[in-house]
Amino acid sequence: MLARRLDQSNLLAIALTAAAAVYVGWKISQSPEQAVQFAFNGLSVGAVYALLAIGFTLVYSTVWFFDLYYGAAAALGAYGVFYLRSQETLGGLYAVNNIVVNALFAAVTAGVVAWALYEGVYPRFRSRVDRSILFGIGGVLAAGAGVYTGFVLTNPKDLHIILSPIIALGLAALVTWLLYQAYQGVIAGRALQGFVVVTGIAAAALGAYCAYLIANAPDAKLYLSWGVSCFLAGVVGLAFYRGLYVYMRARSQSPLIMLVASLGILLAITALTSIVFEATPRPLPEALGNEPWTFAGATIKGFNVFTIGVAVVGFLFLLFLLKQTSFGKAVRAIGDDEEVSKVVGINTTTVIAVVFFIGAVYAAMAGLLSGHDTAIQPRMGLLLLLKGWIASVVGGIGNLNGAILGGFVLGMIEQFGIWDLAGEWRDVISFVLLILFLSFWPKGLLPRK
Amino acid sequence: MRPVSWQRIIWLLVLWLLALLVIGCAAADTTQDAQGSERPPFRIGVMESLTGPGETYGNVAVRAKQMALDEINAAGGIDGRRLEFIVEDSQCSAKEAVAAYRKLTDVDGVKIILGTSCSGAMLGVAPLAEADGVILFSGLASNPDIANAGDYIFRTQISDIEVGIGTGNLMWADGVRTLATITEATDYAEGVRRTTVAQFTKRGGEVVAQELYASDVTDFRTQLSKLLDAEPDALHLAPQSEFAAGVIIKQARELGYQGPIYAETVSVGTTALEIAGDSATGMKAITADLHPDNAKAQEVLANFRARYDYITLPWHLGSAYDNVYIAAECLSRTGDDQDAAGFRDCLYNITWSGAIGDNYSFDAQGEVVGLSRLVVEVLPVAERTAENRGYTVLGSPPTE
Repeated sequence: MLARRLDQSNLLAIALTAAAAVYVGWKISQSPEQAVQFAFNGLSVGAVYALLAIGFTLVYSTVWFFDLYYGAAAALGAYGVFYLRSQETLGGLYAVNNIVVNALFAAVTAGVVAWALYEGVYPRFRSRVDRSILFGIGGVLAAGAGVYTGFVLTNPKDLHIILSPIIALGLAALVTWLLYQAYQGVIAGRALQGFVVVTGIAAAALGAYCAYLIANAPDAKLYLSWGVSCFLAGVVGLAFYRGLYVYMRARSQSPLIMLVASLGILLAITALTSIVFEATPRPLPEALGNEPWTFAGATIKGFNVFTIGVAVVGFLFLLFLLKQTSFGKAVRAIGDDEEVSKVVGINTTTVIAVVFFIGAVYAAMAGLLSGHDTAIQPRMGLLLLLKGWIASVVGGIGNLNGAILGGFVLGMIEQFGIWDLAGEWRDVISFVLLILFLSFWPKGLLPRK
Repeated sequence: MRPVSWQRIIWLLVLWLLALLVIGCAAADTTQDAQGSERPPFRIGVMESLTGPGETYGNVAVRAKQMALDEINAAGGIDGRRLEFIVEDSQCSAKEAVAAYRKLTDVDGVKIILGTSCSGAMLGVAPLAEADGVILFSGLASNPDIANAGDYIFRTQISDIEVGIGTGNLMWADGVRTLATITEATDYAEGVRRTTVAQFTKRGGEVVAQELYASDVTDFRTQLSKLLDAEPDALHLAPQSEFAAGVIIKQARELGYQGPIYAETVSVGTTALEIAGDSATGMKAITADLHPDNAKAQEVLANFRARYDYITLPWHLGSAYDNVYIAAECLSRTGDDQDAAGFRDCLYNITWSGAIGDNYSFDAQGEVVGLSRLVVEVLPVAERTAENRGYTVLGSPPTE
């Protein structure tokens, strides 16, 4: 019985693919330029879907539930950029800066930093330093992070100046760490103090120089606002996990409860976005690459190429993270069996929280890239979420390779599907595709092994 | 089930009575106040799209009306009585406009409503207003169907029939023979497309491709690709929101389209031109603008800029501003803000000179007579200023 059903599915797949190939081939022979144009459009849209599907898949394959917050994260990413740049968009006609919003994000950031310090730093010093001193220092640091976030959000006009010290610090730390790793790889086990001091000074100088460059480049504000809004969307995602889902997971057996809770979060954030920014679509300021390039009679924007690049690089980065690092091993172990991972000593809560952070950053990136390409509106989160979800179903739920493939496939099918139909049919086509996949090939194009 | 406790019911009754008492006292208090001080103010409704696709014109209209209101009250009101507005948001949708209308008529009890922007909202409310005998007086809605909406429905906005005939003739005179249209699925935009295409085909032109989009769409690339694939001589654009207008113009150029674009008022609004940038340069539109020689118009614009620090859609601003003064004149003649029939007769007989023109009046359908539109061409970004609003006026549209 099962074999027969599988056979039917295969037959249907072959028939549909052949029909689609014949149709597209026929259309291409009629107007090759139009076909190239649609392919470009499909790739541009597909890159956004792919980014969403990647983040989605990462989280799904770890905790096995669809976190619908990612739709909201996409909208937050895009609206974050608008929020920070609204004074200089459209002549400041729709400028927004709300003290309640700033305070809210400051508080959430402070909470997440406090948690990160408690999980990451506290255990290392616990045995050496007095508990109350550590808590005091941690509290001050967390509060400082909150105040800094609030300060950044309140003064978006001086974003490049306010952010330059933190960039200097971050860059110096990163460079030192990388050199340290490289050094350890070459000569392991030697005394390192002299080396660390030298590299530290060099890295600090480099960081300061970069910070100086950024502080003198007002054009950098747009790209800094990308970083800030992605970071904040990730922080909120992490906060929802640590503050809400952890307890729900501990209490209930069914992922359905969390699905419903995350739907509530998505709708609430969408409604809040409409209240703060109004429901009408808004444009984001001009980013890089607005000049159209022409290939083979069709045109594509430089920014769309950039988006495709971000999707591919984001995919490769995540692949590297999962396959090559100990963090990736822990993530995969949790995906295979969370209980056993806990038993062998993986701090599952922390690892999953970081996974939620990364997923939300990817979603925010997708949202803001799509916003720059076209426009933003509060409902965009829900729409993008559905597309990201379809992409991950088409590609194969839980498979990272499938996610990026599914994103591009969905983008292409959407574009070529409305060649002869009116433009309003685009969403109908995507959902028919979803239903087809769910009923005949529920494992997707690349099933998870 | 637990039996209902009598004690609880009695407590509820007592609470209810107390509430009634408080409300009654408050009501009595206000009536005393009104009688005690002076004669009650004239209260009329204002209904515009403060949010939604029509927010740019709705907000300009409300601000212009507020400015006129403050001027009237500062000058001593209407025959010594103050004028008061109750403002509601029609959100550019028939459904929300009906809700706003119900609130104005049922809760606030007004009989005269200045509004609304957006033809769809206007057409949604008009049958109710006509049946209830409530005046609906719009400075902005332009769909041709509003002419037949009823006896109590008036407007200072010029019907889209004139825009359509003008655009059709203009394109034909510019040598356009094949046309592609992209239109927002709303009453206003559809009205513009219909009348334009009717005149264009009447002259002998051909529509080779057309696309319709919903108000919440943000990416028009695929639809534009299809339109441009038909290789039309020109592209005609009829949007409802300035946002969509700007994005469509921008994306059409990004797709490599270099031919002419023809559009209407919304597309040359400040926000639309800001979004479109240099993609809009050279675009022609039939729009309404205030005459540079009209001293009243220039005064209104100067006052508006001084008060709100920006100007967009100057004609609409002036139209909304004139509406308030016309209403004040008619209220002065009838002396009663509940007398909708008297107000209606006043409008039929009035001849007005204000910001949007001199000696204009209303015909038997409540349509404005004595005003006309202009052809404008969008300037390059470098030459756009707050004074020229981004375009240069070419003159009246060509006729057959």
